[in-house]
Amino acid sequence: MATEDSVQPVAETDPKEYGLLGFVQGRPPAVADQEEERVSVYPHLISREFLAFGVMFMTLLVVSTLFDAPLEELANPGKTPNPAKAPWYFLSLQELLHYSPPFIAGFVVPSVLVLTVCTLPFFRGRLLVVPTGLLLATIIVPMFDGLIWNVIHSIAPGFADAIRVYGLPTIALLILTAVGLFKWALSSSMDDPKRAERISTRLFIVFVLFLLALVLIGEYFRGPEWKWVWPWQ
Amino acid sequence: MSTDQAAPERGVWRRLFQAIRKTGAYQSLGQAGGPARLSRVFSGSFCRALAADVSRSVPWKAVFNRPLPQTPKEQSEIAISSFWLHIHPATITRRSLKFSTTYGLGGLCAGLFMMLVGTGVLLMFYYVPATDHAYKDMVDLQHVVSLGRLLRNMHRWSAHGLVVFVSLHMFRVFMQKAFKAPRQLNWVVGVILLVFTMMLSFTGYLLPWDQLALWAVTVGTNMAGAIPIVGEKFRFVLLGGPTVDQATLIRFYVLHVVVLPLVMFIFMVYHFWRVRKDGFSGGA
Amino acid sequence: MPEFNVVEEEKKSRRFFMAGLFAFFTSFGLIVIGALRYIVPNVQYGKAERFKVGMPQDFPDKQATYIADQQIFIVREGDSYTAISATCTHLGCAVRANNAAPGFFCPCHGSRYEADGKNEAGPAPRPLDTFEVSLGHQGELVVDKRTTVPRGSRFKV
Repeated sequence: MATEDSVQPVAETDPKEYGLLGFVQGRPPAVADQEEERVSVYPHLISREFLAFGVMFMTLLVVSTLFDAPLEELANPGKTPNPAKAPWYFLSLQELLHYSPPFIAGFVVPSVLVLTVCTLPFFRGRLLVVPTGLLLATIIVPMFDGLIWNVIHSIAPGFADAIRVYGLPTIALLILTAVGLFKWALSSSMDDPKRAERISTRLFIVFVLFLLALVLIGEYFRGPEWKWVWPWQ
Repeated sequence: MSTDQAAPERGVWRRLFQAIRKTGAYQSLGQAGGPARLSRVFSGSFCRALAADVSRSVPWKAVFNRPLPQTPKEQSEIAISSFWLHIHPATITRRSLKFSTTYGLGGLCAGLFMMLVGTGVLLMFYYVPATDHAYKDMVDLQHVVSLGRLLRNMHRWSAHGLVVFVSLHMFRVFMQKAFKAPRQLNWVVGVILLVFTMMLSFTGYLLPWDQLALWAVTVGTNMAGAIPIVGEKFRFVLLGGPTVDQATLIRFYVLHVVVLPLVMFIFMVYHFWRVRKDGFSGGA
Repeated sequence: MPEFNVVEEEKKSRRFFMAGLFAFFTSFGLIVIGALRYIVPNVQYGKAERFKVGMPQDFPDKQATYIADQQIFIVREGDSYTAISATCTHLGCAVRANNAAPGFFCPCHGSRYEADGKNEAGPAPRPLDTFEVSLGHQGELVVDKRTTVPRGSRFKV
């Protein structure tokens, strides 16, 4: 940032004249780094990289010798295995699929998650609770999709049937959550930036834990017809 | 021993012959203690002298045409002038070098990607993406092909590892708030890389053509079909037909072995480049 | 004023250049979008959509017989036959006939259907399809998967 301090007094002997052209927003060139102690990449970083790659390779070799990759019987379009599980990293989505229509669990949730994570760094300071809160809401709200739908169904059955496929209640609830988060972020309770950042970090951690829990449930607690079973059953 | 250093001859062969003659190995092989004397051929000083000979030889000099850099200046020059090393800056701070700064997660992801490319290309030697062939090829890889089972396991476990480590890398960057300005764009590129990792895993999942593959992809692509208006069309194009069949297998194969890795590689290179250009984020 | 004219000429040529550039990129983009048509297949070399399933009397009465190749059930009740799709309307898994009560269930996400294909529980959004059944030349049942008929329709032999 160019401030008044950076404008040097013009020396008497200098025939040229300098003037302040304007103020620029932004950071100064990375001078802070130069104060820290620097070491050459070769050999310090390169040696560590080789070591890390070596350890990774050996670990992979040992794991691959000990554990076989699964291979089931030949694909048979006429017979669905029971239960049919997705790979573990998609199990959280499959678990949500159990609660809400495919349009929500298969399209809205992943799209909102990816887009929100992408915009994360563009929210600064106190506003960071908006994307992190929305991430958490995107996982939790679809779980109550059936419940919400039942409530609407008891009031207006025909209307409920019509909007069921498009998961409109869920989408409306997500939009409401986003608006609420914005209000919360701008409220006076978030005036302390340290506190706001702490809250957003916790929201993100809870979101990650939720995803993890859904994956574990899908992997170990779901049996035939996607019914709940205990791992020791 | 001392004669090794004193030997005026520089030729490797002459030195070898001389060393063997000196041990008298060919005379004493039949006698007691013969093998022990033979071991002198490979004594420390002899190996050192041999290494010196090799490093003075013309082919060696042609490849490694400069001495090992000793001073910091020489080391920086190596990093700048070497094609392979210019992905890194010449120097970095002690802080970035510390393990707890990065936990080496990003680097491990790059390493796993290289492993996946390597093992994947080798698997392609035996795998044929046809519905009446694919499963047999997998069984062959498991039971008939030398090291086939190991390679397939390595490919599968590195793929799982990549998903794990990309996620961990992302979590680390978030916790250190290292996505703050000016690194926002690189965070977005990172998210794209995560999505590509998922897509590569998903397309690879179909290739063994077993029950697991068929139904995971049936369910997965039907989810895509639930998108309003364009969903059905999108699903049809993705599968190359109304159901998961031969057309789907070849489509997923091409995506898995050419299209997605290539695009992902381009994004990776951009990701690394931005790491250098963006500099310190002021986060953490 | 010759100078003034030069500036005008320059402006004109720049405008011409920009228009050309715009036209080039627009047409190039349109061609690329049009070329996406290439990845939409025109011909399917799959199984026939209209096929024979067997002689009517070969199907056991009061039961749903599964034709695995085609993912359909043939339900016989006396001399009337119904062809019900076995493809779950939720996410396309193959449903199975219940062991005890008549009806079907989906092993993927637990949808349940009644004997005529009506969805009764689980995430399935609509009933199973019912396909048109007719008689072939040798008196065998022929199912046409391209034609759906209203749920509950039966074909009397």
